[in-house]
Amino acid sequence: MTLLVNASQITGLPVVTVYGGDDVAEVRDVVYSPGAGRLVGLTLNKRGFLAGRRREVLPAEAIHAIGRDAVMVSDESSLVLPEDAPDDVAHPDADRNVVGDDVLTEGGVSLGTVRDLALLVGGTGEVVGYQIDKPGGGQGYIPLPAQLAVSGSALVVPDITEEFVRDDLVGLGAAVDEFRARLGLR
Amino acid sequence: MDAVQVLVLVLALLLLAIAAFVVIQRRRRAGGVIATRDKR
Amino acid sequence: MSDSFRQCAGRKVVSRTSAQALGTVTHLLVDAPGRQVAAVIVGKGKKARLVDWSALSGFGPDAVMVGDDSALRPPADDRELDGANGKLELVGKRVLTERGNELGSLADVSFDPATGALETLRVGDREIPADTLLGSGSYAVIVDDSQEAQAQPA
Repeated sequence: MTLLVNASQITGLPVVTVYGGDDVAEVRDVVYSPGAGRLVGLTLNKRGFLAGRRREVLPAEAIHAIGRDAVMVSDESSLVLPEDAPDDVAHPDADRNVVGDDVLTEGGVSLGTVRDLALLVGGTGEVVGYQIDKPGGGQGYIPLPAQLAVSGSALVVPDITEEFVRDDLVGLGAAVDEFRARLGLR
Repeated sequence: MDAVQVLVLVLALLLLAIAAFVVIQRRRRAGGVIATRDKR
Repeated sequence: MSDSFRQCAGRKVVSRTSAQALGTVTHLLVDAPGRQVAAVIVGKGKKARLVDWSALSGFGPDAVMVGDDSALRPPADDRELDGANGKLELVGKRVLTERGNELGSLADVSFDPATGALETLRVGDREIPADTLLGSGSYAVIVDDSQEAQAQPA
């Protein structure tokens, strides 16, 4: 099942144990490493409308699956204290967030600014593209190469990305394979 | 001020405090997408 | 003949030796890995008692028979306490696949009254075999991803 969702739709989802059937936490932040091209983990809140933050975090390796309606873990021991988790999940740096950065092609064309990430549900959330706010207004989606070096204040993407701007997640899903194939042949 | 006015004031302050608590707590819980750039 | 959780709610629990009514069935506590009814919960609130499946004389369509009232015992741990309070009741719970997608609400659970073995889970208009059950608890019932193809899109 290749269903794509915006990463922001994962926030607020319950974290549920597969073998216990209990909602042990709720997703607060979705932490992603653009350089490594993968989800690094989730920070958590306690369950309940006014409940506070939860100290424990959920590293990507400990996630059983990310679905449309819940994030699944084997049991509550999958949630670890920040001191026992990789630093990029335990202390995600919101100041150097790619969200909000400009997206520029290598040739210098601005495709817009990063609004959200598009990730695959069912597995452990591979990020296949970004949602962008387009220069002329409105939103679109661009596919990503498997890895992308990101530093400075702008994202630099291959020129052919310009041909692969799509209107919605369905369009993005259809475009990813062709985009990656074209990059491979370059 | 008479007793009724005092009561109304106290209730208003209480509601304000509750509203403030709700806003603060919801903000603490607000999450988002954090995609951290590499250090240079 | 199958029985179901919905059908047996409210059924009399009777002592085989004294023919006295000891209470009514309020919930069935499930052993998910074993796909089995673990215990019958009789009565509500502080007076709720458990009867382990192995302590039953018989689970009939009109009454649940126990040897005598010594078969009824108070909850022994937190999980049994939650069961007695109805927090672990399967009927009405959200059904999630292990991939994190919702299938619907659990409408009913059918089981074999002779052995206590769970047979099917009814979700919406579908019957799911109980051997897909992975876990159940206070929030949801979890089934394996063999049910994935039927998950409804958001």
